[in-house]
Amino acid sequence: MEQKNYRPMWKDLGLNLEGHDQLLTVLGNAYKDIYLSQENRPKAMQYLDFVISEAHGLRIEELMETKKKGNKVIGTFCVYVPEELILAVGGTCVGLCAGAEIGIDEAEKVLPRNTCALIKSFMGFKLAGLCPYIQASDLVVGETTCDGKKKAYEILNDYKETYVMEIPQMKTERDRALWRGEINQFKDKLEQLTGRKITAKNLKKGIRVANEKREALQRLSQIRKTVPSPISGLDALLANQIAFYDDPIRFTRNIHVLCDELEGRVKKGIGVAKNGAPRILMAGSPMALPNWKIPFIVETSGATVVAEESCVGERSTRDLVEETGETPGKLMDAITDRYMKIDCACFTPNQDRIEHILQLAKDFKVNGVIHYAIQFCTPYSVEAYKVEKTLQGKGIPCLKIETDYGMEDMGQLKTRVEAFLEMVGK
Amino acid sequence: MDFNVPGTKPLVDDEFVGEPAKRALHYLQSKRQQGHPIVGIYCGYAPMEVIRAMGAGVAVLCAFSDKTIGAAEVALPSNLCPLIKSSYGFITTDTCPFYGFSDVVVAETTCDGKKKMFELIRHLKPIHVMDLPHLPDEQQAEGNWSAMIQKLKTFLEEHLARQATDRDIEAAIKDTNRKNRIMNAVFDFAARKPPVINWKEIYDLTFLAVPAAAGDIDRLLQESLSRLEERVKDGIYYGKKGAPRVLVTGCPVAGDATKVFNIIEQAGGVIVAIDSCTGMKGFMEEIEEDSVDPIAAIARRYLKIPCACMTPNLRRLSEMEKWIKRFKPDVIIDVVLHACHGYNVESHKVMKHVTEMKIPFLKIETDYSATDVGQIRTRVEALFETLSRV
Repeated sequence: MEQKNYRPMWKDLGLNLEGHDQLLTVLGNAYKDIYLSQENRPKAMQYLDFVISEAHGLRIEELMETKKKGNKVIGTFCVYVPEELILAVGGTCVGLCAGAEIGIDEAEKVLPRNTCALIKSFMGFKLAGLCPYIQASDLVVGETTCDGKKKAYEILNDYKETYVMEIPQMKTERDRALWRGEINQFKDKLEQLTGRKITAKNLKKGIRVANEKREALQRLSQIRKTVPSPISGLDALLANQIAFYDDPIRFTRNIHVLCDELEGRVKKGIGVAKNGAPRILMAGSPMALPNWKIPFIVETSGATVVAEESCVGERSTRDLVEETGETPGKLMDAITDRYMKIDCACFTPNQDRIEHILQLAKDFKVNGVIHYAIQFCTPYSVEAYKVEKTLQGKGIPCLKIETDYGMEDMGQLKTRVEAFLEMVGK
Repeated sequence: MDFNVPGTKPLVDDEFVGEPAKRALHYLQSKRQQGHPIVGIYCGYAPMEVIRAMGAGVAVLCAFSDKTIGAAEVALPSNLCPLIKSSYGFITTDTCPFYGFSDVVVAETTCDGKKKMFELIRHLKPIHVMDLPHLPDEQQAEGNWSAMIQKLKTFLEEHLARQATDRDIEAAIKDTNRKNRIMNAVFDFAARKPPVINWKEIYDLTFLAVPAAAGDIDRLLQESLSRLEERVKDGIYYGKKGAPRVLVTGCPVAGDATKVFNIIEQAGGVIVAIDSCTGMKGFMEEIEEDSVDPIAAIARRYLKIPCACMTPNLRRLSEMEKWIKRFKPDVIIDVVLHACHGYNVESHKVMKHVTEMKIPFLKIETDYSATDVGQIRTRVEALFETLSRV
């Protein structure tokens, strides 16, 4: 498809045009190799293919259009940032680029080499001028989820205003109160930024839009419980990744179209992989767009990923916000409660997560769990020990993988995954 | 490297010279024998005044040996900070006497690694994890941290079957302040040009003075002070005149990590300031006395600790400026323990700030093994060489 010339827009946004061209070429090729080469894809995936092809084009143009109308674009890195409030002030919440090994040389000028790949990536994207989303953002919102991000935001703030929300580390009453206070401060910040008031009406609407998006992704997740799964893990992951970038209402509509098609497949008993393909649950660190490394290895080794216990997956879609409140305060209470349920490894203790993994393993009838930790992601890599022990105790095979965004260890990982799948298959 | 006058007596001249852990152990064993419960801690954020007000002794738990790391890696990832791995290994191999006789353990959510490691030891002994605010300048921070301290008090009261009144806490606050004043008087001898105290002596003192109540170590502190004053009178100083003065900042340094201190000395430098939780950092702030709410006063003081777990932690830089004025370092060496993301990432900011002040800066990232000694030595020597050329 012939693409529109977005170069003037990219130039206005201050992107490094030459580097950006290279990036798009590399990503385009990767997408062709990893996604378009899949067999037996649902037709409705064409929508997501289109969104991907226009992720740096049409979508950015839309953001610039909405900004012209005085609406704000808020860039985020984490599922703790309450999208409902951003929607309430007529803003757009977008995920920022953090899923590829880009601008590493630039990033390593300000960050240690042994920092998590996701953090180095967002810094690299910014410093190398390659992320149109951060360029288009009026504000970046960070959070204190982990040591690396918390400290990196201090440096990012030198290049782009970064507002930091304090995430509690435990889940006591006091922690809930802290988070409730943070949500209130975020509301003040958004009101001040946009000059618009958050009311019960617009907040209710924001909650509805965010909940509908989650419901659509829950429906998709539900369908993947079927044996055989009618959709590949890669395609489902893509849907979860694009959820952070696309217009939420349009996205929701199209995910339902996809789900309709998938339900048709289920009725006919059509699976995406060979019968008897091992069913795998991926658990752990987030896989930000375009990080497809492990699912690609798993699925090209004959297995299907049927669920992602991850922030790009179940952790961001599992819980809805209660919509019954009639005042902004009550609605923000409900938002607080919903977000306190997120079982990120940044919490201690975090027993809920282990329970959720066991539940997912059961509900999705998985043959094995792959625990994925981005290298130097301390919370997930330490918690992996407990996850593995618990799963072993229940007789569920578990493979722990720790890796970065580089391709150097692909061969080694493939060997490990294949050996694991062979064991699981027995 | 030595004192200019041969035969200068060590500052703390007892049977434990150079073995501060044994001295601390001896101190705590005698506390125990007197019937005091013992509370183990891992971090400078543990509000020790509340513990002491309860009549309990404070034990800093083992965390600084390479020996226990292998055992820890059975459960913990290898690319985790050595301090955390060592701490955990000490517990699983049952080789930390301080942990052995601690009745309870106080922990806190300073960093990802410790926070998650504590989950693996919580079934072994009563442990109380305090949720530490990470944005200390936020309005809510003081109230939240006060509440955590209050909860700790309740936990200790339950588990130790002891009480602490506001008066007890107030007395513990005053005791800490008195201790900190004396310790700072000692540190002033390191600030002298040339210094009249060496790093091992500072280490000897801080190792005991961090956990101990002033009332328990008064004599030792007073004797140290008069000995230092005598040294000045006798014209005694440490190191060569004109030796590069080093301010060491960053992660806690003790046990096997003191290899860095040794390398600095062997390369001809004198360490005049140790800006870390095992060094002088814990003695810097006073706690407000006779306040309406002593727990809130304690909360305010602890939130001022410029640990890299805080964000944006600008106090680290402003405090450093004070340290530079006071200790007059020629160079600053930032010691970061491998995979300590907080200090590792923050190092960039410290480097920028210090470089703007035209002070040479070196970052050393290391662990507890001896494998990088040669490499660190080369870098430190190269740093000192550039100084002598100026």
